[in-house]
Amino acid sequence: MEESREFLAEGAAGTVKDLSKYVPEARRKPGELGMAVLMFLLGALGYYFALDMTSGEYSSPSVFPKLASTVIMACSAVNFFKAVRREKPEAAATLKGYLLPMDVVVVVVLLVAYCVALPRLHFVASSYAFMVIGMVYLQRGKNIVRALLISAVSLAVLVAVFRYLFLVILP
Amino acid sequence: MEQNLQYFLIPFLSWEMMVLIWVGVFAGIWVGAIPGLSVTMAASLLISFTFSWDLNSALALICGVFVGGVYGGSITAILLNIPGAPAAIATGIEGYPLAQRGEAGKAIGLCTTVSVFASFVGIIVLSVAAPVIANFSLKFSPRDFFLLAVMGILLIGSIGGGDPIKGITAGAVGVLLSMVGMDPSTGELRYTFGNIYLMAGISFVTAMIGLFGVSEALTQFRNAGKKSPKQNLDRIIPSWATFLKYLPLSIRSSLLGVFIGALPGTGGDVAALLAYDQAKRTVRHPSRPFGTGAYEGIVAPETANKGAIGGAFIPMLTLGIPGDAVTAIIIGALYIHGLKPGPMLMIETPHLFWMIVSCLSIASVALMVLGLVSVKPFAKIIEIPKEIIMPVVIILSVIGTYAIQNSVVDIFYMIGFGIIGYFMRLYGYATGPMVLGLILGPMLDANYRRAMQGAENQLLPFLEGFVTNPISLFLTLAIVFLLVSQTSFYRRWRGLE
Amino acid sequence: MRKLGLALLAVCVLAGAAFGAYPEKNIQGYIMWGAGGAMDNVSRAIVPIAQEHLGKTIILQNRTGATGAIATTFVANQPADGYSILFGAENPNLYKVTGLSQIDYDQFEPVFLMMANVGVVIVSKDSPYTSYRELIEAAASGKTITMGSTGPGGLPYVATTMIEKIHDVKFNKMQFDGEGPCITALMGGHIDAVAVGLLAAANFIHSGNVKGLAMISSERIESVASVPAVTEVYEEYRPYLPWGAFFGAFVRKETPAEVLDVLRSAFTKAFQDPRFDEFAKTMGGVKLGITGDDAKKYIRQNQSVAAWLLYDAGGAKFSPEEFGIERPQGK
Repeated sequence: MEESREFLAEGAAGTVKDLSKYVPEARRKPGELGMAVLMFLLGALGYYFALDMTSGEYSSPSVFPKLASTVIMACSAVNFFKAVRREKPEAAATLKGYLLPMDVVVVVVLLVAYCVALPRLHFVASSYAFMVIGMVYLQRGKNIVRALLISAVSLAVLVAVFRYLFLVILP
Repeated sequence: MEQNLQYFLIPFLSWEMMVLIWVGVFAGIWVGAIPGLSVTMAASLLISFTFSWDLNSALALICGVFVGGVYGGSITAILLNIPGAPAAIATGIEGYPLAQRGEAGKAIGLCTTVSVFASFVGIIVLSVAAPVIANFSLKFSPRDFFLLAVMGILLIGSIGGGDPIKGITAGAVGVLLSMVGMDPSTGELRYTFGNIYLMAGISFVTAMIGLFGVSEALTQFRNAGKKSPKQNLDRIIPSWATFLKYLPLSIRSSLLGVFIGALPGTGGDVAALLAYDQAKRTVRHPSRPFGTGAYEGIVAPETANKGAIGGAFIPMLTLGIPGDAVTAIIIGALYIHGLKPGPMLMIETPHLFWMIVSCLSIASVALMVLGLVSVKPFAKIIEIPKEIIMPVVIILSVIGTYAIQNSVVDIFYMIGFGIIGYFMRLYGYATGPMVLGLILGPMLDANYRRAMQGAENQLLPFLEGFVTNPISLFLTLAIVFLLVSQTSFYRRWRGLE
Repeated sequence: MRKLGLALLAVCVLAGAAFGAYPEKNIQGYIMWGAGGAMDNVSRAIVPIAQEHLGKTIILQNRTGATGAIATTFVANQPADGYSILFGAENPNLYKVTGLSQIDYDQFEPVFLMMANVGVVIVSKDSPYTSYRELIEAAASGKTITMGSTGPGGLPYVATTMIEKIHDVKFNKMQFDGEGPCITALMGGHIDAVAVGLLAAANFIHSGNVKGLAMISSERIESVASVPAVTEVYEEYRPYLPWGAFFGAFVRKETPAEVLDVLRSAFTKAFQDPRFDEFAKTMGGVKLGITGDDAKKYIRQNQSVAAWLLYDAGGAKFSPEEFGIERPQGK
């Protein structure tokens, strides 16, 4: 059945990573312990605030929040212990470098700036600025004209479709 | 019988209806594809839009949009890892890796073909067995819905191929977040801290767009400079042999989809998830391991959520009870046009049933054509360098999010979720489970409590119900089986290890 | 589709050129309940006709949550220029006594009350109870009867409270997301009875899938004439009636009078349009069609019945007295 083979799989160089079974990595990622602790705290907070809710019966509103919080806490604890048992992360990988490579930082800053600008400058201006700055930065300053053009065109299309077809008044 | 045939032919004899169906499917594909825009939203817009139209034309358009919209959500899931609707999450899990390998064309082609097949399965079941299924679906008690939600939740540990424990953690966080807001049963405010925006709860669509879309964009930026994968677009339409190979799976999953769609209140999303899970457990030798681009992982959820379209009409047309959100809106449209949805509908306006059946059929054909034709342009989208497309996608997500409730706060949520999702993914907490938790959380919570209330808050009668009621018993055993089949004990017994 | 869009655009331009007064742009309409529900249907039925008389589009959105408090609070915070309309039901009347929100219809001016929704107590067609009396006597004898509910403040909730108070019985309640799901559960035998609005139940009564035991009103309703009015069985209900849900359009109190007049006249004309008549008949609701002071009186009366009922039965956090809500006459 030759034709069906076209839909059969082949990984790089013939090896196929079986993702249906989870194989843990040997080393921790930087900050992994911190993440597990954070999650645990989240669960604890969830449980704490759930105590304020009406309880008493099996069908109270507080049952599931408490249940979910407990699951989070239990799993985080397990995660923590599993992570502790693994080796420390490589010396070369710093927390900041792992979490926040330059590109990501810039985009996040842009996003936050967008959130701030939106109520003030309104949709069209903020979005245009976001897109242009984003594209220009990501392309490292090349193709500025193309970025300006593409942003303008896509924004125009989007606004037209949403404003006139779907009758959505943009912020 | 002859009468019914006449009704069935109504759309075929009307130029206007035919055109509207095709237009609807086309528009639906785009609406479904845009993250944040949902078929439900489009449908409610259309109701007002088509108020003064003739009912038949209005219905033709809406059916088209429905069919196209459900399909559209899977396209962006495959291409950009941004599901256009929760029903497409599972499709994205398998489809996106395929796209990254350059096989987006094949993925979409397969998706389209099986979708059309499943759509017809749904329509056939609708025509043949509607009243029977509708009456049966009424028997589902809150306890049974709870069990269904539990089945969905069990998926959480295995989605995304990551550490199952982390998956469960993410899922539990999702469930916790779904509790934010006003408790639908008692009106009590949970986790709102006096903030009025939190009172409305966290819309899972906002979370989904943020967790998938924005966080995907951010994650992509870590691989700056990596080229977009070149797409191989030679053989889009799957060969006949391939189609037959997946036929048993398609039939199974689409029937599952029809049935779940027929349950009042649950629709394509739950159906797709359960079908995906079912495929993972029953397919011995997937074309690729699940999670890396298994074709079965596209076939199963896609057929299920298309089958659910036909399924959703079953209770709606026979009993006037919506099978899902879109059919709820269609019921509204029927009222506005002077009809009486409800058990009398088939009796007083028999042409309606067959007309809808044929509209859906035509829409499915339109889907086949339009879907396949658009594969090439869609696939080309991935080839656009991500430095350009990601900012546009982000802005698109912003609009889509805003369009849900016209609330700027939603946009902030979305971006917040995006950033959270980004960090989560870095540590191996997959985002799929979190969205699942958000979606299934309310279903779990509300139905658990209803079942408890039915047992007058007494633990023993509550537990008894699981074994005394035949439907509940079946579902409980199914869940037990699901759990047991994961343990090594069982796997050894079956010779799988 | 495009035809309609162009037509609308033309109308807008013409209208704009001709008047230059309110409305100069499209209006936003916020529906406090979800798509497909009774409130949604009524709003979407009247708005397209009202639009024709206004010359501009009213863009409708569902802004659900918190029994309608989200929508109410939102519109209360919009400018009082007539470009934000609240499409609301009777729920805001109970916000203050349940402590849900401090913003209710006191901050609004009713544009138009379109329809009223009367409550009806229904059971499934296989139910052992064939008359209202049987149901009440069963409850009084200690048998557990499970009633459906849609959450505090909803029509089923207040109705059930009323019944419990009058007969001194207690029902076991199961809560659902709306009247529709209650009826579905009833048909599946998961609850014993429920009091819902007639708008939701009418079709099911006609088809025989559910039995109407009593109409919570002092007279029978034409479209379901076979269902007895509750006062025929128990006189004790009379002081609480008329009561029920209502559906209306509201704008902020401070909206200028000329704007209100334009809106009122548009909605009144829409209400009288035969198309809306058709719709109302099909849905089985009671046409109200009141505005201005009549509307305010109606709302106040509805509020006093519901608020005091709830408070007396122990379901309210605050006393209606604190908000100046008077007791209903004769109670």
